[in-house]
Amino acid sequence: MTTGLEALRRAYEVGLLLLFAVVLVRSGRTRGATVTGRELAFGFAVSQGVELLAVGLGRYSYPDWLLYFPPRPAWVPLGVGLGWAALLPCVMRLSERILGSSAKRLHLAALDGAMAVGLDLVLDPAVSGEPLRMWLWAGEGMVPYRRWLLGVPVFNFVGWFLLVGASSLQLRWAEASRAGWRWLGLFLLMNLAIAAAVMQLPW
Amino acid sequence: MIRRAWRRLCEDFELFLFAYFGVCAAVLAALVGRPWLGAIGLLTVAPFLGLAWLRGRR
Repeated sequence: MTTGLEALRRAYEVGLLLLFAVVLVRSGRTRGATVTGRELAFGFAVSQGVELLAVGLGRYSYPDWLLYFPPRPAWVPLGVGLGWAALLPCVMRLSERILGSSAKRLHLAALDGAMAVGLDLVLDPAVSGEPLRMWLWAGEGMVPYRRWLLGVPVFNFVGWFLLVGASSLQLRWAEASRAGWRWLGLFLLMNLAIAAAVMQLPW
Repeated sequence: MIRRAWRRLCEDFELFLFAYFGVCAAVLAALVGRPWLGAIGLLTVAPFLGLAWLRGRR
């Protein structure tokens, strides 16, 4: 691998960590430590959990990253979960701005998912395709895909829409309900179960 | 002017952040030799940014 590509790979990974730090500070100042902690921790747990599940089930792999979480087995980079956790509140606030914060939660969640997919339509093909290949969709022992879009399995875009939509729906419900945040642990397990089922479909 | 820009950035943080995501992804696509992919990305991100910006001005 050339030095330029290696630098770009490292920059992408470090960029994800910095992005999370910026969102953490901003959210902490505007929404308070409790809500921020809850939103980011939930986003990270859902994302990292689903990614671990996907790698474990042979849907994709993340070779040659600097930091993995958990460190052993080195399956999912820390930056992936943190980056995803940082994106979630961003699309949630934008949806509330577009539709109004009193809009139906389902409509807001659908818009959240659509925005995330809109971004992912360029991000995923650019980063997982040649020459960066920061994650791989095919390889030894991995499940082959049938349907592709822009060099990325359609499964990925559907997954982003479902995961972002479901997580934002659950977070909004939890924040609006008294002690609803206690349900977030259950939602996490539910999301993992649904994700595992979706991953078994013939994509 | 810098202070005004900073205040604007703080007020519209999520808007700028999402625009930053879109631009970064497009630049990255161009850097790896697929500028057309970046153009697609800008097209899929821009409508949301436009809507959010218009709503914010009301």
